[in-house]
Amino acid sequence: MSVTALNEQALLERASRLDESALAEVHQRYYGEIYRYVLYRTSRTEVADDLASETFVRFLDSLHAGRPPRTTLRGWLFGVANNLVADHFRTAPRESEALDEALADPASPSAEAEHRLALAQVRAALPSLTRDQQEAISLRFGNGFSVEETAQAMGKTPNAIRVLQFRAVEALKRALQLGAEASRS
Amino acid sequence: MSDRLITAFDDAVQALEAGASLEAVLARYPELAEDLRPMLQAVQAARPAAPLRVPQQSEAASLKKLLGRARDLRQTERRARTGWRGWTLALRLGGLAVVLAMSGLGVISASAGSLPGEALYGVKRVVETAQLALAFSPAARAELEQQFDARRLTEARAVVAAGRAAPVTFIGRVETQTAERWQIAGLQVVVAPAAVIGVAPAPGQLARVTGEARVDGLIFASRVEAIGPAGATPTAAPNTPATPTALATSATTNTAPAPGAVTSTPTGTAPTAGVPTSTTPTPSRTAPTPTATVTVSAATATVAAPTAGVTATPPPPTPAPSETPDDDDNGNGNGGGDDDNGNGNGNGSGNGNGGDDDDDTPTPTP
Repeated sequence: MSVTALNEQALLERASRLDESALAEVHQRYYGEIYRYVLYRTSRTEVADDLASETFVRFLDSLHAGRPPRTTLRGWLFGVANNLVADHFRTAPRESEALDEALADPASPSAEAEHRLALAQVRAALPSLTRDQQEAISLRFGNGFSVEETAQAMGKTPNAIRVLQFRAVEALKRALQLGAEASRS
Repeated sequence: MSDRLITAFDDAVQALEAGASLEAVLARYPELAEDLRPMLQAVQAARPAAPLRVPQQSEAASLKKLLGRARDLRQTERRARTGWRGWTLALRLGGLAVVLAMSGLGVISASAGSLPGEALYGVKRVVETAQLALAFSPAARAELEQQFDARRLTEARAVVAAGRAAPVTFIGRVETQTAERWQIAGLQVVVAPAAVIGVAPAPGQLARVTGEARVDGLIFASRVEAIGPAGATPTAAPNTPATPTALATSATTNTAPAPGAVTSTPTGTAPTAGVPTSTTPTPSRTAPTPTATVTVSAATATVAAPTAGVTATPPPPTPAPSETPDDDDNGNGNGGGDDDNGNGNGNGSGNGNGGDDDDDTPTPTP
């Protein structure tokens, strides 16, 4: 068991006793990535606000109810976030609008405009991918996770993630090509 | 081929992430460039130009919500530990008490009115035994024994009055002895010589009688024994004329002559009390019988006498009548039926109050 895992276990133990500093530490460690993930997938800051926050509340409830994460904490949190995103899409139809201002890079407005368009196409293409593929793309590229981090978040091995990211990008490429053809004709 | 492509793609993506240009990366894999180019372009499109910004106020709001939730849980936990759980427990206990009052204690209180030979009489005796076992002091125990002895006599009278056949046991003063026909505490007892244990009790002396009441109102004794040494008789003798009257009056009429009996009886019996108690070898229940003597002979003196005896020998006649009516009703009720009803009701209301108390107490706790 790695030092991080040991630390995490101690952290969870404290958090389960409703220790505020432990909870704040978990929140501080993972809020950013959960928020980015949800924002990337839903492209709505208010949805990201809601679902990221809800992810942590559910984490606390589950921990307090004596159901600690069985995998890694990160994997558990992303699992909850994924379910919340899936629920969100079930009730609110996917919107193919461009990513919010939060995605903007105010440093280079022109490059940003171009990139925004490309990203909007990716986002429009994503729903045609499998759930795993969508998650892999979102984590690996939206969040900028390494293969290992993605593996942790998805509860898979790094090798499985290498194959998955390849298949996901292949599928994305085809979907983008189809989209491009559709917009040309 | 596919494995190579997968590995090459992974390496190429990492190179892009490290800041390499698309062309520089593709140059590393000339034979795969055609496959990799559109894929790496897709990756570039999928990557936000800059890491997604996380609004500080979003993070702060989320943390606030999380810690607020933790506080709620802590509060619920605390409430659960002290209040709610305690409250439901108290409710449950209260409910249990009510159920008990309606079932178990109900039986017990119902048994209070039972007579020998009746179904609940055994329960009554068991309850008495339990009460004796639970008595917290010898004085309390003696007082209970007095009460129970008085009950036995009341029961025997009630059985005879009802013309029932039932086993009876009681302590009473021997009033007259005509051959085998004795009058003890107003009851007609047939005493065969074989039934007498030890020295036969002389008139005026107390006797413990065990026997069978018959439908004709006669009690056939299987066992009669004197209580207290013969020496007690002279002291008791002067009282004897007083006691039957007191007994008769207390049994039939009211407490009026009782104070008189009170003064006389304790003095006679109280000194002897300790002695015969220890010397009488037979049942342990004989122990307080001298005190029970008082009970039997003068109903009113029952409770007042021993209490007075503890503090000062001359029992105050004034408190006695004021206290006695209650005690008289409870222990030595004149009419067996009335007395039993009184007991039953008393218990019933007591239980009811107990249940209410249980329900009330926890409510203010949370």
